[in-house]
Amino acid sequence: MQESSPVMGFVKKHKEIVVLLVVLAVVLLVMSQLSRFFLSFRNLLEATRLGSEIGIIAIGMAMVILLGGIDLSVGAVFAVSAVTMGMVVDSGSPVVLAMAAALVTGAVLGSFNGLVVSTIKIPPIITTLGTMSLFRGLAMGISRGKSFPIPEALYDSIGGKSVLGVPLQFLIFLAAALAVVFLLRRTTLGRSLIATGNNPVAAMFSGVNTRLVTIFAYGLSGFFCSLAGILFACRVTSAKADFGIGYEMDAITIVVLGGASLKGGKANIIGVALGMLILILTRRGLTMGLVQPELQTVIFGLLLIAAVGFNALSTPVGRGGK
Amino acid sequence: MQPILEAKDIKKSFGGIHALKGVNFSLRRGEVHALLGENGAGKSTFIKIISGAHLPDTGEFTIRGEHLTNYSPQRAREMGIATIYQETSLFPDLTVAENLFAGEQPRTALGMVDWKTMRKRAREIFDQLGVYIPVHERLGDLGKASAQMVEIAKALSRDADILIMDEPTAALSGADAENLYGIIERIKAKGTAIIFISHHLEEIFKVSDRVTILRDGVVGGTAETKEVDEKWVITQMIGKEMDESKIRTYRTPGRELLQVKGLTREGYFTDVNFTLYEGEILGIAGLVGAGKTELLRTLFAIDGMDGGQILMEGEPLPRKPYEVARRGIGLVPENRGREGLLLDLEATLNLSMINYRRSSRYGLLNRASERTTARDSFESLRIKPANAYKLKAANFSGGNQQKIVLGKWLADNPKVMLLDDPTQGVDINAKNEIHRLLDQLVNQGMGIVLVSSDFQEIANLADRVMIMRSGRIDTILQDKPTVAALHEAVSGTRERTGDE
Repeated sequence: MQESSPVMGFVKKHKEIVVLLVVLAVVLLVMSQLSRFFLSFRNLLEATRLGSEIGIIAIGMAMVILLGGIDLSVGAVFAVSAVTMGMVVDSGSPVVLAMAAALVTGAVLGSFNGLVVSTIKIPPIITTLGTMSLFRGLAMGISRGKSFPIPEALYDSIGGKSVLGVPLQFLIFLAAALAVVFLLRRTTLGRSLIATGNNPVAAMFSGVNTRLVTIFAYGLSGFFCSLAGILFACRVTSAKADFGIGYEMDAITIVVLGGASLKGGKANIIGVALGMLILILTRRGLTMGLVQPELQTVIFGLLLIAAVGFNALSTPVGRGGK
Repeated sequence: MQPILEAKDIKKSFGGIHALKGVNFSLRRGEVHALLGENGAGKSTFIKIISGAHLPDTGEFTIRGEHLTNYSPQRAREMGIATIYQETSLFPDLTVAENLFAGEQPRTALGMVDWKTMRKRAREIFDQLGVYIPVHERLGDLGKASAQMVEIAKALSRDADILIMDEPTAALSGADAENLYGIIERIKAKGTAIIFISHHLEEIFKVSDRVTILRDGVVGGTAETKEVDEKWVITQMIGKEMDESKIRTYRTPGRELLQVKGLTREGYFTDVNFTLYEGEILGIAGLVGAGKTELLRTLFAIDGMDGGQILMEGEPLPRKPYEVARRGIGLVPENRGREGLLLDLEATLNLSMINYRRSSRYGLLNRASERTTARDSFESLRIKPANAYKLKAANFSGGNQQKIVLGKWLADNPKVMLLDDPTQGVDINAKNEIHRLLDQLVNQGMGIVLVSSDFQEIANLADRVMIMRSGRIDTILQDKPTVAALHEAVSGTRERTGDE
């Protein structure tokens, strides 16, 4: 049977997205076989509550990867922000102030990454490997290993809240995704980001302030980490320095699944959203299907390599410019 | 005497462009044969044919009387041909000795590398050449001149008896160049034949026995060097009577735009002074390595400076590229793929790459203005394929890519344009179009600094020309100098500076 040509046209143009949709469908199919409770609408929605926190981090990560960089410090920034919020709340200050303090902290720590990468020109992977440890230590230092309680009221109003049945976290994730799409498509700053990501040398020769752009991208990543940290703290109603360990790997997995190249130059926010869903639904499905955590890790590894391998194989070699 | 290498009626074309239209050339044992010609005259194509990288379309090609079929780079090496390029093919992180024997190190009985023998043989080779090179040093720690010597030694150690030297002294200081001439004398005395490519007329008269000049893919002339003079060489190079018809209309320069005082960047250029006026094209000519590109890069604040002053309309120019761009100065860089274009992005976006900031409001892109800019640029620059707004920059031809780089700046109406070889790799039609456009812009008051390796281009366009030589302004030729005057000023027998 012949496919109608508009459909094929769409498939051709958005090949990566189509591939992700197929993978997502396969995940849903397989997981529904593992557990008969999996494919309930309620369960799927509830999964996005957890996934959105990592998804928000992944959006920031996508901006950094667009520049050809990487941010390994996201989990640590996430923890510092949560702890900051917890401490400010604990001191009796208003919740709004606590959240603002957490967001500012995240943005500042992220910008610090950007400053080091763009000014001292230490490779991003080294810089953020350093700050990953540095910021984690900071979180432990300021909290002295203590866990700070977050008021139950915040669970009701944020952490466990749903709007028309949709988890608040997922709505915030969608808002963040839309904001970044707007940034990239409609603002001069976004244009500078895309230009710098595509060819930092040509961007500089075109009068783009590439240093500022780099600081901004890392700062945005930090900001999104703290946003995720706040949501997480409100959900678990506590704040502790060991939050978010290993989140950098999840975030990178999502962005790469979503079709970004670690060489930079590409950002695919729809891909990030689909990547997040694939990751989180696979994880939830495997858990519900009582698959051992060790095996889960193996399955994730294979999934990532398969998805990226597919994109690599389907992209012609020797794409110019780099 | 039978020539060691002979080429008869060699023709070669690339996709309809005739690079060589029947070249005759012969090389005798033990001679230095200079090969000259302007850029695009066919020198490199000819050299590539001799070294086996290209096959000629037609023509006869013999080495030591042997008719060559199935010619290839491999075969060329077997026939004793070695090419020494400007950029050496050596490994900077290995020692001199290792470089010399890369891939064929002497072995001990146990199959290990025999370091002692290797160093000994390396020393012997340099002794024969009459130069001292520390064979145990990392090559990267030695200068360019030493790297060149190693390259030559490597060729000779592999029994090459036909050496092709492509501008071997371009990157060398005066003393190192003298040293090289000495070595050439010695290896020539042993019967090695050398094809010597250079733009320095002075050194051609110093080292060569015969000289062949290529012009537009044919031989302009071959002669015994001692029987001809510089004038003859230049005439053969640029054709009989120069076409002096200039595109340029009469202009009166206006107020001062860019003032450069005592500008110095150590190791690149020293004490550069000039003023660029409204409504003029200031050409900069000089040999490879004279510091032209480096000067433009420093003007645009890509690279730093060690001394001097740059004023734009009387005020000091800030030292960041984005600030320079904001002051109305544009740069069309040397390497359009690396520095000029976002190859993976569409033409429209590339064309608005400068103007998107100025046309924006509250940080929001003005997409209507971007589309208009793209349409106007495609139309006024005749970018082909027409209306291909969404085509990736990578998919345009070289000439059209160059137009996009030029177009993106013009969309921002700069007051000063710095152009680094703006028509390199551009076909003749596109070139003429770009020239007409530049003339028009200057008549509207723009000031242009034009660096070009194409003297015809500078002669056609420039009102004044600065000659750069080893990082210094040698002279400023006033009143629209001719091609011949440029050749004379750039490659003339004047003393090379920086020799002492």
